[in-house]
Amino acid sequence: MIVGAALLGENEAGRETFLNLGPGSVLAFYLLALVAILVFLSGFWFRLRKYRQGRRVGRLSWRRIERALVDLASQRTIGKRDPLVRAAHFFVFWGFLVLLAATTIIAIDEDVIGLFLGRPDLQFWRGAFYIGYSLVVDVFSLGFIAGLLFLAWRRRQRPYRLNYARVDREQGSSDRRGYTLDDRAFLIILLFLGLSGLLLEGFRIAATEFPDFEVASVGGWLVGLLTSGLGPEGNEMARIVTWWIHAVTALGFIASIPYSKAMHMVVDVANLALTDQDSARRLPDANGKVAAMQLKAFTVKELLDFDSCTKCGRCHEVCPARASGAPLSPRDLILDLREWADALSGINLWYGPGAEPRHQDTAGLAGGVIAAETLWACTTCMACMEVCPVGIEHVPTIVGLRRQLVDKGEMAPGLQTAFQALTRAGNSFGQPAKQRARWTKGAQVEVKDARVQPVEWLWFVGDYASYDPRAQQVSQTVARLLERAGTDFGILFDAEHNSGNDVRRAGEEGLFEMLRDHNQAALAAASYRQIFTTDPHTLNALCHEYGIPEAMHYTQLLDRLVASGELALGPLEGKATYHDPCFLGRYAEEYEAPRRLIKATGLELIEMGRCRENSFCCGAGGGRIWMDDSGLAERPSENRIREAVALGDDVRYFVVACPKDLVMYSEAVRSTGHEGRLEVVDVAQLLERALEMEVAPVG
Amino acid sequence: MNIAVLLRVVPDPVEELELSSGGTDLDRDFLGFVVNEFDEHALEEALLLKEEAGGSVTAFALGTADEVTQMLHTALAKGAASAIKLGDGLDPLDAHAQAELFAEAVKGGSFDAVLCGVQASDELDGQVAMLLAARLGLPHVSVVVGVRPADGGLRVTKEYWAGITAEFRVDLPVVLGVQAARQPPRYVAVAKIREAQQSGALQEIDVTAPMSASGLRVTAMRIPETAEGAEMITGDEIAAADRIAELIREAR
Amino acid sequence: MNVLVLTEHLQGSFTDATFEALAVGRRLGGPVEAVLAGPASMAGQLGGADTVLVVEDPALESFIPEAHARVFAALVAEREPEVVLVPYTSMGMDVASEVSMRCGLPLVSYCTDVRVDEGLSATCRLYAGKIEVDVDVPGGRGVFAMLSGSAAAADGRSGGAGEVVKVATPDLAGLRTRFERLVEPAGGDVDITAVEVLVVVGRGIESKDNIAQAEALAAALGGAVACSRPIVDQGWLPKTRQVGKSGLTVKPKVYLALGVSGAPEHLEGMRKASTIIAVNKDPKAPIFGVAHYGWVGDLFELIPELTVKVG
Repeated sequence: MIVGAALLGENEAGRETFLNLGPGSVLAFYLLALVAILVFLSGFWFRLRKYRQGRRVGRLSWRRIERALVDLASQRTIGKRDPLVRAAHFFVFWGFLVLLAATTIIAIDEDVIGLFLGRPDLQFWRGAFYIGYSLVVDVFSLGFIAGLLFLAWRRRQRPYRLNYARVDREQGSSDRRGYTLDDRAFLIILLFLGLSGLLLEGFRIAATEFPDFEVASVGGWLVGLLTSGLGPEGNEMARIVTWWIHAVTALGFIASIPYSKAMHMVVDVANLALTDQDSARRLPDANGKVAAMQLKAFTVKELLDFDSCTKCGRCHEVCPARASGAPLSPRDLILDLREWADALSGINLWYGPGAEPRHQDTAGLAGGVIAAETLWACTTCMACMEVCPVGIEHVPTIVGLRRQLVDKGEMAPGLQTAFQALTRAGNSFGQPAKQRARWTKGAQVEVKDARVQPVEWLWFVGDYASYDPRAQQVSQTVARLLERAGTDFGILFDAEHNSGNDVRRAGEEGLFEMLRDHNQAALAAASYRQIFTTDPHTLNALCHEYGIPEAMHYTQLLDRLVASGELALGPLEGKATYHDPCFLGRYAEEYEAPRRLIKATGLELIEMGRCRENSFCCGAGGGRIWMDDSGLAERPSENRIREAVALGDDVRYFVVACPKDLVMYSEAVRSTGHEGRLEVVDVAQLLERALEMEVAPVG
Repeated sequence: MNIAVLLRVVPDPVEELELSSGGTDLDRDFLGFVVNEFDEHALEEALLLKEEAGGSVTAFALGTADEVTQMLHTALAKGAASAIKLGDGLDPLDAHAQAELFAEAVKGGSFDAVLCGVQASDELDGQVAMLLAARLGLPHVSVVVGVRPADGGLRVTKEYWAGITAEFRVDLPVVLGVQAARQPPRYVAVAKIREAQQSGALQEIDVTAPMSASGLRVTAMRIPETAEGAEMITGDEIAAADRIAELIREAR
Repeated sequence: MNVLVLTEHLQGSFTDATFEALAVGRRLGGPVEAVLAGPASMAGQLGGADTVLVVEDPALESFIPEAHARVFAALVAEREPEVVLVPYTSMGMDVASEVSMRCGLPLVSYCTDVRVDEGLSATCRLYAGKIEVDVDVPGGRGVFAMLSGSAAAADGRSGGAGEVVKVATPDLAGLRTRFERLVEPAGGDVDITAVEVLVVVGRGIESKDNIAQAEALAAALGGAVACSRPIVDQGWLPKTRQVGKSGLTVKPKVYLALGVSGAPEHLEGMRKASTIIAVNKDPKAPIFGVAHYGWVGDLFELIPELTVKVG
């Protein structure tokens, strides 16, 4: 207060906090601040209480917290495929923190040390500290404003990802103006705070007649020059008015944080500290009998997920189901669940509980609040989780809801037939189990029976690689390649069943357990040293669901063989593009082995725009290959083929490393009329060509 | 409404069937069985009737195959109040003998309706459903595609041909040979079937060996020659398209 | 060898299956009697019967399972034939078992042939037509439920003496079944029985979407698309397009079966087509047994090629 002014030396850098504000004003300010803080705390209290109703999952660890803080400081996760927004948000984030710190420092210096402790001699906000401090704050404040302006401009460009139109409703039938209002209010308030802060500084500097040291407050100094025309008294008046407006706005903002988009500032770092992407790879076990319409149906992490979403729209943009016209938007799924959970807890966001009355639905969560078609549309490709900047785990949530549907017997058409075939014969084709290894007859090499003799490599073939005629050819090729390289391998013949990976992801836990137990018994009875598979979905099951982390994909095995010279490749000519399978790329994080193989054949590799972690799913995962896709506007596989074709006429090969990709893309090349223009070929088939092996026609 | 449903397993139509060394039966060693498709529809229709009109559904089955007990557990998981396995080692039985055993089991149960699949692929000597009706002297309708409760009885839709159907009103008790339920048989999660297995609700009752016999003696079985009539076109799809286009032109 | 044929009729005409049964009866050589539960005026149509036993009663105007079973069983008991022939249709199924039980006669279902040669024997098809079975009937008397196509219907329309005998209606007291009405299928769609070229899809078409390809081919041929039962069950095509036992019987000039396996119930509805061309990826599909021409391969590869060639 006035005391502070008296302690400053004649020209010492520093200023009075509540300059010219009477004790009444100061008291009023701190009372308001108290109210604001109480509202802030109670808002988060209600949220915490909501989270505590969820099921516990032990996720807390120092490693995760550290990683989250690093991500937060660097804003790394926002930068995925959007470096500009990352830069802008970096300045907004750090600007906000610095400005917040500034206020806190002042409060500590003035009110705690000066007033409360009564030790004005210890006050430190003066001198060199003050000057350095002012410069830093001003620079960040300018960055803060610039970042906000950029983001506002970005919003004006109406990028697709910020389009909140629902994909599961008729155009225009859902009202999301509340969300847009929230977004705009947030941006405007922050901008206002930033600008009014600058103005305040300018007024003050002009009012105190430009003390020399205030040059450090660059922004303020410049603004002061602009307003100097008002004269010292005029500036002083302006300063006091602006001070109050700024103060009330700031306090109001703080109070509103837990009730608006601003809550992401607190919630998201917590979510990042608790996130575990492996929850999609190794799905959580069924949670027993939990009434579907309670918060207990979800874990604490899931409830936190629902609140973390900032509607950035990245998941909405990358989702292959959404892109193909299916009624699934991962963003809307999370938002719907947030609205439902909030309504159940009596929490209201300031602009209303969203426009959807569906959370009152008594048909249950799965099938009611979230439509069954929405849930069945997911291919569990993990693109949403991979791109989400705040660590939301969409996939396990969707699978959990699918479990509810399966429990009720509300199956997507086609799934029932597949499940029944799987129950009966261990494969989804409805073919006899006995015929699983029929493909070996046309392989022209001997395939050992790992059930009766020990082998070095156990080859867990996979459903599609065993039964689908096109994929069988690849299996035969792989067998020949391995034989050529002198690898000792064998398969389980009829003892092998579908790994259950996609069965689990389609929500049939009981059937998954049955398949898993059967396969584990077959594996235990066999004698082998290493294990590999032709199917990336099976790979995920082996590595994560069965607990065999050393299991390999056949491209990784072939990569080794080529690198060590067991397979000597002659050069092929031409250009190829490679499609990263979801379950080899995002799930197994193997991007390079297949690429090395393609390049080793001499082909020139041209990458599609959406490659590696950003690869675009073929649409077969999550059990979707068993479901009817006649309702889609454009199959994801066709979308992808068009992307490949757009690479240019000279790119003739579309290289795949997954039997389902082979099937889906061969079909898509046909249905988009590109037969003859683009050839879908497996990595193994390319190797065979490069080896110039002569194979008698299989007929 | 108390409804009895008769369930049977038949050899999996997808499998390749092989004959036993004697040549008068199938080689049953490696035979895979599935629930008779029409019996599944019968169970589904029974469950729907129960859900509509109240009451309970009791499932009956006989046979030694593992698939029989699983079939009964599945019926329980789907909503049957009880599941009863008749005897312990009776198969294969001809239709007349099955009808006798099922009739014995069903007689004392004061059932309003007995639903069974209209036919099964191994019924050499008649349909179990209709033989059972004749044994018990009950009214019967086969090839049923619709059932609804109707003033103390049932309104039954029977399918003829060319899409023509007939509606009958029948008194209870009645035996129905079901062709199709009003909706496809429901799915029940494997976890629920496991629960039914563990609940031990499956009952097994002893039965005396049946007296009836088919009165027939199988002298030979064979896999009929297929494609004996058809002149097969060779070549790829382009050659086939050429030939077929030609054939069509000639035929018109 | 006395033969008794249980005839069936709907909407004023006898089914082809009835005449096939009469043809089988004539083949066996012995006097052939036919039972007609209906108006005596229809008796004249049964040219293949030596005697037509007419049971004319208002209660039997429409087929009622319980009533007709009783009537037939009573007549079989009275006439004591060695061989009773029943068409294995929806109506036949309702009466055959009753006759077997009440008269103590063995019953052979899915029958394709009956023979008298040092005893009575028959051949039938089990397991969805996959296995052929020969049986002896040691008792020398039996009921045979005949599958469609076991004989030529034409052979059953003539050759009999054609004597008409009215018989008293057996006791029909205490009937617990009442006929309410007959329901015709909704019309307004293509009449596939009147089309020259049919492109027929079965389970092999795999999805509703793919039917459009068959439609395009049919359009190029100036024909129509028909299907087997599973397609109708899935709701992909209306019932009016179904060929088979419970659907329509068709006799087009060209019957192109794509992805149809050829279950007996389907074959019943189309085996009389002039030229049957079957496409299936399973070389053992029963359809190849009735087809004139066949190709084992992928129908999805064939359809585009063929559509271009005939367009």
